[in-house]
Amino acid sequence: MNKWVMIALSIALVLSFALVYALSPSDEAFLSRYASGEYITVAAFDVPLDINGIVDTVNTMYPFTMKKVRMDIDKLEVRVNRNISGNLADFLKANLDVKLFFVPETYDRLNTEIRFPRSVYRFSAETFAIVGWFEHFRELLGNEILICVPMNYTFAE
Amino acid sequence: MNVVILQDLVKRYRDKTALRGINLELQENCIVGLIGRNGAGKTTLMRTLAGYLKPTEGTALVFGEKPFDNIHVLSNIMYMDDDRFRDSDTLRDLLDRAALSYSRFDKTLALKLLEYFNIPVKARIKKLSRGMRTLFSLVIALMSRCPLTMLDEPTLGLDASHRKEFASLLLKDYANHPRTIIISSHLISELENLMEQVVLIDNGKLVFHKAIEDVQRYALYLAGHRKVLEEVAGRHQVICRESMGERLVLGIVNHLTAEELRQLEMQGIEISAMSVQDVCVNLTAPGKGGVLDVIAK
Amino acid sequence: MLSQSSRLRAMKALLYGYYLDFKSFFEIYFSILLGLIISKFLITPSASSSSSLNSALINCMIMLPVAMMVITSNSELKKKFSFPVDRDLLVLCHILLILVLPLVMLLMSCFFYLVELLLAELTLSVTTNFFYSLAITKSSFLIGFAISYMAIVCITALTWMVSAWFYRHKVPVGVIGAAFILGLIYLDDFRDSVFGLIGRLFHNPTPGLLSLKLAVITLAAFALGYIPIKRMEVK
Repeated sequence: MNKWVMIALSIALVLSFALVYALSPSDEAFLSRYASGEYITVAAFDVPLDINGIVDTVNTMYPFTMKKVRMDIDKLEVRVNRNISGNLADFLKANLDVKLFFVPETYDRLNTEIRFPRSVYRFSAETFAIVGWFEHFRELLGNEILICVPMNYTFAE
Repeated sequence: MNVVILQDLVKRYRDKTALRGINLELQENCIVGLIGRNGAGKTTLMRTLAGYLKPTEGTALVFGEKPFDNIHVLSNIMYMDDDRFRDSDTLRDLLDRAALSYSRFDKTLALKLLEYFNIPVKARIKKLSRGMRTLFSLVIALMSRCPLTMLDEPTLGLDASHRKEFASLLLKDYANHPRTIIISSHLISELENLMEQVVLIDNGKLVFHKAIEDVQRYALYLAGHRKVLEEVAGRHQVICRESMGERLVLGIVNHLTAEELRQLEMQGIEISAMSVQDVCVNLTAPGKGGVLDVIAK
Repeated sequence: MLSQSSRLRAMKALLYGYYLDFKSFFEIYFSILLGLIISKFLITPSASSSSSLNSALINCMIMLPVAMMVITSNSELKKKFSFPVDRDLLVLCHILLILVLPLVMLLMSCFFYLVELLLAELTLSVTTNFFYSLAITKSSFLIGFAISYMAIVCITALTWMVSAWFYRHKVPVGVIGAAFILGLIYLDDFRDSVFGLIGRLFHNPTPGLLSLKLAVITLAAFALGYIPIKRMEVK
């Protein structure tokens, strides 16, 4: 191979590294994209607030990453991050099929059933998988969807 | 100056002793024929000199130093065998590597020779015929101009005309760039004109190391009446014997005086020189008869 | 008259030889990355796909150990001695390969990551059911690159060391290796004890401590791999 081709390839590789670094957000910028204020509610359900309910998610939000959180709200909500490229919030509002129902003969168990009637494709531009070994970086992976329940609810394992 | 010095060199593999106490000195700037039967230890000897193998006992010195793992020595040694290059290597890449490896490598002449032999430099080794591979290896080996060049069976797969051209090329290049060349081959008669010295080894032992002229004079065939020759056999070292009725053919080491020769001729004995090939074959005969004896039994 | 500066010449020639050898290796790696991208975006996109960076570690850990087994095979070592080389140079070149190959492979992953971002943007503009999210920060990229590099170097060095010791016994070692992998898959107790051991070694790591452990293992592998090659005969 020509010496100049080799040099050009080497420069291209080093530039790639520099460009990936330059294009990546800082930790602070990344975390701010996943702050609670950056999520939009795409589905919400009234739930009784006088019981200590248990919520079971029958279908996951695959292919998206999901986190179940308890927060100071009075509904069960499905929220989506607004910074996902491709305006996921609008798509989910139009296409997400979420049902909530009580499990028969129990007073406190609720099932959320989540479906995507249309095919959906997700690409995650992730960093190196090995950072998952470190707790600090596990927090920097972000979640596209949150399932939020009131504080007196818990999630089934 | 001695290029190669071997002192009591022994090379033992796990289940076999390949070299058994070889003592040998080779001077610079000569062409040496390394002769021996299959399994005699020629390749082991060359591989030891090339730094591939470590002597089990004794010493092998090349340019006054041990060759094993000695880059200074190895850079001045070329060892060519038939399994030298990988099939996927292209000739051009190998030429480049040779030019990088050997300071004296003549790439221009190498390219000219390959063109002359119709060997395409863009080709991969696997695309070459047996003979072409050998020619390519020879070109690399000779053009490296190493002070010690070892060629293991350099004519393997070559046709008669290429063997002749190889001999001419080797002699011409040797004349222009004198160095020590060790050639191991079975085609002794064809290479006889190239060799200045002969090293004969058998079963891992050195049989002799002589100038080619001495080997050409080393032994004689005497053919004639059994009665006369039996008497001669009692006085001289016989290296081969073949009888046909009352007629006997003897191969003897040539210590005959001019007077003895004259007397034998007068007694009707036919005297002829033993060829270098026959000397080597007879001196390394296994001593269990010939293959025809096996069939006769 | 003997030629001088032989070590430098031999080093250059040997490196050139390895450069030629590894050209096809990189062609294969390039093809794999390209193939993965094509399958991700063009042929049959799966519901969820991850980036080249994410899969870099696994790609390297499959290809590099195989490459190490090849370069320490008897026939390959023999071919390297076709041109002048001593064993120190050979080991030095192998170490350079172990250090440089993962670096180039990871840098190639970075290049393909950029290509993926570009393709993702293009896909966004032509479809309505495609989404992508960034899960990378400057620090996670740098630390991920560094630790991935060290982990790959470590595994490659270990494979090289084992191959160097058993270069003439590849078949039995292959059988033992295969038995080990099958054991990991099918024998729960065995798997637990192996992973327990690894877990103890790398328990609760910080990037610095993990790097240190990996570096120590790598250096030990280099030292141990040097021994059999130093005394190796070319047969």
